Amino acid sequence: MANKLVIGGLGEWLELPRELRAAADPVIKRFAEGARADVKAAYPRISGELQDGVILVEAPGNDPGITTYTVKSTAPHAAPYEWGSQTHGMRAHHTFLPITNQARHASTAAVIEIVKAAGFTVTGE
Amino acid sequence: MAGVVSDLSEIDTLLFSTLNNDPTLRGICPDGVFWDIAPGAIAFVLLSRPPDGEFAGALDGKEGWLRVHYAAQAVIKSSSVVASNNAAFRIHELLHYGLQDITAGNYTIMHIERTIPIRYQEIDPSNTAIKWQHHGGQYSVMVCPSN
Repeated sequence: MANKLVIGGLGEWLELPRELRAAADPVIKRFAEGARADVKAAYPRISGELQDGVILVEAPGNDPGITTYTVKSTAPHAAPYEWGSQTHGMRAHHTFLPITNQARHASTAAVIEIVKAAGFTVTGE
Repeated sequence: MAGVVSDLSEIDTLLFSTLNNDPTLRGICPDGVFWDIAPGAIAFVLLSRPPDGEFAGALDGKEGWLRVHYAAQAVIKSSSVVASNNAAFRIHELLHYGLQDITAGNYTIMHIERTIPIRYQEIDPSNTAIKWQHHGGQYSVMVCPSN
């Protein structure tokens, strides 16, 4: 299960000066790290596999100067925990997606503020 | 306006009845539709609502629209994925871009789309020959006040 926090893939973003991309990168990284920590904290600790399976993958994007940050929940029972388990009679514990979605929205809003602060007009928020 | 708490029970009911009353889906999942948990059922549709799903936007200072998420998945006790795949396809046909302009209580459906596919298999820990197929998706439902 993975939810990408990708800003660099947007065509409009690629048109921005390198300085703006550089300014946004630590902001995006901070939200991704926060999402990883929040998911880990929200998971119960029983065997530890669920919590320990939450990782942040940092990788170069398709374009120069772009980094992607991907939060993943890699435990085998991450999906049954998120959406329910019939073998364990367990309801869905919607955890990973709400947290990472929230982080994605918040990081996008933060980047928009950076772009605005540089004098650009942002539409379609 | 994110985090606004509204009465979405009529939308819950609309989605539930849409899936529960469809003869094609009922043919694949004869145990029907359940919220959150389905003890004893072996071929059914499971609906749940993530707690985060509610985001609201304002128009002219009033509630203009609301977005809420639903997870809708077929759960079938089988080692084959054929039935669950067919059920997920039918769920998708019914919900994705579906129910547009239908009013449910205080809200009218503006748009529904699948945001994330759901697909996983469970193996019964007490008997590894028993498998459960989960197949469906998480759907984003946008509504606006109907009056």
